[in-house]
Amino acid sequence: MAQVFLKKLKKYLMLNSKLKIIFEESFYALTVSLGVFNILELIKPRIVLAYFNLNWLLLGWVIIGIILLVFSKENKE
Amino acid sequence: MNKFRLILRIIWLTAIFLAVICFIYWAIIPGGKITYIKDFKHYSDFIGNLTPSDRVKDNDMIIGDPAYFSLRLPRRFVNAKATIKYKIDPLISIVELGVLKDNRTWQYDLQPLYNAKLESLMQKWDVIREGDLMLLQKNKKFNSIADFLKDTPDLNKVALYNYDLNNNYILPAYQPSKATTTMCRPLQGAYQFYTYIKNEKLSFDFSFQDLNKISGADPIDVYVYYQGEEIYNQHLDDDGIVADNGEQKAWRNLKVELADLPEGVYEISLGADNDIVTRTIATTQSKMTFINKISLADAPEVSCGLNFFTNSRQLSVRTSSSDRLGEIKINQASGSAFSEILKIDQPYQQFETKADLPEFSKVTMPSGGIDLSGDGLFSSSQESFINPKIKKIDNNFEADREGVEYILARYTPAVHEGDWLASTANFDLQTAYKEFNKHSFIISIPGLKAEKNNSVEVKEIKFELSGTSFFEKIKKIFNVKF
Repeated sequence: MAQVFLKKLKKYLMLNSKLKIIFEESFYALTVSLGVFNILELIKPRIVLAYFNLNWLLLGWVIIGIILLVFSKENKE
Repeated sequence: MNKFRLILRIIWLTAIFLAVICFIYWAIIPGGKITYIKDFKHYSDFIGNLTPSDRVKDNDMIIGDPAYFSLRLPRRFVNAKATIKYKIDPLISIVELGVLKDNRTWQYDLQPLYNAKLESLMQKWDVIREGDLMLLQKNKKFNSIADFLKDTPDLNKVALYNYDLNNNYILPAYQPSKATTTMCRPLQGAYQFYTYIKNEKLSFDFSFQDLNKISGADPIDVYVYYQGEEIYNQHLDDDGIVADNGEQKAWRNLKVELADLPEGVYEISLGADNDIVTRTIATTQSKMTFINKISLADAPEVSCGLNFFTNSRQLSVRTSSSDRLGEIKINQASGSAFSEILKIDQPYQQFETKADLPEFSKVTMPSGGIDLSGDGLFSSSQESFINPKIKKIDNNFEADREGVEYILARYTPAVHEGDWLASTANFDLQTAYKEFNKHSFIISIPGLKAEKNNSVEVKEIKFELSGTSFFEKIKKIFNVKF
């Protein structure tokens, strides 16, 4: 099931360059967000965590990262 | 760069920037005012859960007294207005909310939330309300609170709640004692007592033993109050051992001696943690009455008497040592019309008297190592007992039995919102104790016990906090007049 989904996604990403850009920019933005929010947490603990669970951001970052990795591997092949 | 990519990047960076601004804004709260709500359905990072777990059911139902929760603040605030919505069992008389003021003596600034005795008397008696003050009269005599305060009736007919009435308590037949007496029952931790002075020095010589069983410094502070005002204080540093190794140095003394004091009642408060044992108190004063509790230290070598006299209507006892289990005998001080035996058969458990105690009782303890507490005063002899306190509306209060005809209270009645009650209490956070930006709050419900199947269900806790605004702070720093 997951393999079918990944295959469909790869095909869709290859055909749709705009979606690829969205994923790439989202990945960069989430990387920056994680960095900035963690620095804020270091400066003043719970400043971010009081309102927003950074685990969700990390989860999104990992998922988008995996999708981009799979896509770039497919492109090279 | 691709235009689409550029637009996306700008959108993302703007979102991140706005998010950072929001988080900083919520952390510094430039307006100085914010409201935090805990509704027990959603997680709140600022208002903690009700604890301990054995006194709380389903997160929001308090089944044992007391319950605690914390309030975490992102910055400093001056005042907190707490509003609690709750449902109460009809058998519960009093609910109070307090903030921790002193973490060594576990002193809380308690404010009323609900008082069933007052709410019930408000339906039957004449009520005069002026702001948050109210005067209840069984038979109307005074037209205003000012009239009542100007011409206060016999204080035996007056009861107070959350209000301190200046009571110029005088013992007409009192004669100062010339001899020095020594109270040799060892007392653990903090305590407060009343004494009486008339043409004599106030003289107390305390000797302390530091057990060093709890890690950390064990400083001792003694405060003397007259008519509610602190008139003297003295500090004794730790003995130099901060480890919990049980090493003990020689007993140390602290002497309080004050001359030329006006006649009247003085309150002496000793602030210390449970590592400190007061071994002896040598005094020339003949009156010495402990307020609400006595913690007898576990010192088996002491052969002093283990009797106390009290006017408490209800007593509770507890021991933290399994070697100190036994029976506490409570008898009517004069005569033998009443007697009750309180069995302490488990450590760390509170045992309470079942029936209302007589006006004055004698309590015989089996040994030391027992905490004795009640709603009244305690003394080691009948002769040294004084009661300068005006009656308070507590769990055991009965207006007719006590002969009370006037009640002066600082109390705002609870508001009914359907099945729920809503009560508000205000706290000064500047004088409250704070650790890691957290204040500790207590919900006190005297008499509430898990085994009695009573409960208080809390629907919502709301804190409206106010402090210095960013603008006011800048004004203060630069002392600018706008």
